[in-house]
Amino acid sequence: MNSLIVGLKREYWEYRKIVIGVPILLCVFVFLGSTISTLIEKGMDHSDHRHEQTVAEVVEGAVPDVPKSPSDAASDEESDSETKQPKLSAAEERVRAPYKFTAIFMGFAWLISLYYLLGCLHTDRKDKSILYWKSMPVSETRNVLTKMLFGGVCITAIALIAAWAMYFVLTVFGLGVLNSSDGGETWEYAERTFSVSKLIIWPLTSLVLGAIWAAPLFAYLLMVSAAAKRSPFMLLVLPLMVLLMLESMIFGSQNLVGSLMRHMPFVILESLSDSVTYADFLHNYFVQHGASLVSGLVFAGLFVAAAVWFRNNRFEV
Amino acid sequence: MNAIVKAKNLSKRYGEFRALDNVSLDIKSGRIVGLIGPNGAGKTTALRCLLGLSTYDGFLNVLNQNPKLDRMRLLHDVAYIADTAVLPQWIKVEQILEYMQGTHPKFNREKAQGFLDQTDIRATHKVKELSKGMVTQLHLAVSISIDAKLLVLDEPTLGLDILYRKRFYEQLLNDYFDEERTILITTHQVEEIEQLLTDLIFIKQGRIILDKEMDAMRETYLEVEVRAENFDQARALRPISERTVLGGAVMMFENRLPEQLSELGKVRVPSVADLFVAKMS
Repeated sequence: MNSLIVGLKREYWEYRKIVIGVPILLCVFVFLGSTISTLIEKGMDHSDHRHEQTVAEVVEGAVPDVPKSPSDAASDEESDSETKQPKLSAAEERVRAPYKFTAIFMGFAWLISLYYLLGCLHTDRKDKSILYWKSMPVSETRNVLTKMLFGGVCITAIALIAAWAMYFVLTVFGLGVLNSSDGGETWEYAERTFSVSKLIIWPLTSLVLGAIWAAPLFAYLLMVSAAAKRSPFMLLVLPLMVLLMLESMIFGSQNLVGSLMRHMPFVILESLSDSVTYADFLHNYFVQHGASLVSGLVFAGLFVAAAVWFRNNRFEV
Repeated sequence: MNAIVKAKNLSKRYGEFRALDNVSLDIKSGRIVGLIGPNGAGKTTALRCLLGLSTYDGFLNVLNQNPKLDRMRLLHDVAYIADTAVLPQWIKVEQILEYMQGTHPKFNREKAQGFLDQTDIRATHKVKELSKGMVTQLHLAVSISIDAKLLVLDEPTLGLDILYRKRFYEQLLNDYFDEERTILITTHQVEEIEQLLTDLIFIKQGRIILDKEMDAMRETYLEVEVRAENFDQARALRPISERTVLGGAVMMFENRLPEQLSELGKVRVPSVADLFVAKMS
């Protein structure tokens, strides 16, 4: 256990600037954005209704879009027609504001994760420090799994903590200060939209399920990182492009690359956000997409095994 | 004394290239062994096989472990310094100590801190802020703070100035070596470690061409400053090497008695560097 913690700390030490820096930068942008927009609104002496919209807009407008392949979009349409969910009311959308707020941070954190996982098994080979790490009694299986855990869970967890801290600052301090000038209307809005479930349980669910759902993609990136001689990015992109072209030309489909893209972690954020209830989401995730989930985990295992093999047998750049 | 490294018919191929070709050797505990060879001779490959970092054919046993199968267990008792610049540049000294304390059961942090206190290296320094000599000092300090039975050093002082090189070997002797521990070292700077070594192994094109204790080496090889008038007589004794010097030639002989050679000129024990040149050419 101790060596696992030290292993995670080692990853944190190496990537601290980006893992901590990006959430802090995001906090600054969100704080400045919400403060400036609120002050502008107040300065224009708009109604309370307008003010309420602005806070919601700040949160909702920043939720990242999920990239979709054409085939993905088509299959989404089909599945939507089969499992059409009732559209959320404006009030329900507003109640989801805390979740959407944390989703912004988690979306950015997953971008960092993708960057981290693509580079982490290449940088120590590039600077030859792998020879130092290999002089320690730590197996490559443990090394690779530690990096998977850090990239899949820890980076997002750090961003989530930053999101909670920022939410706390914005609601308790930021909006509390505004109460003095608006007679408590803003505070009431914050109280009405606050939900432990939406602020804590939903994001934590997204974090865990996002890591599981994206496990094949994360493991694939690790494998590419462990195998790359020069540029992991090129090794990631070129074979996928070739596959995409060949499949399109021969079969007229894009299932191979599309199935990898469907396992982007951002899908979970959108899926949970669109679900009417938490139970709906879990049903959708484990029952309707259960086969994809299980097959994804199998592929994740294969990719991790390949990454370990590369670390053991072809570690010199 | 028990052999802590036993290799028999150890071979390693990279495609058609034979990096190690049926190498057989025994290394006993409490020795300082120099593995000397020109570039591409197979030194690093041999060390990597020993550490389980590379696959191989043949029999290899290190500290009663099979390096291929028991690498993790083996690394509890083996410390390894590969080159002078393999510590990650981004890491701080205190982080190295914390990491090693957390991952290596035989690492003694207080001991390492004690060694570092004798240098200009501070806990808050990052590796990239240190000079090459200081990085080597740091790496040696943490490596000899592991209670390891075997210390493997692969060109540990390459590119360092003479002061750091001398300090490195002094610390190795004073703070690490005892009769329970073994040091296996590869280097090109043979003249500097000559006085340290108890055993000498020469490797060329993946084959061991000399494997002797230093005492035996001094009895086996002799060098004579042969006067010009004795050239024919000396060459009749079949020297293994000959080089011209002012007023004569220096010839090296294998398995000849000093009495046989003394009438040819001044007899002396060759340096490891001269023996190396003689055996390689």
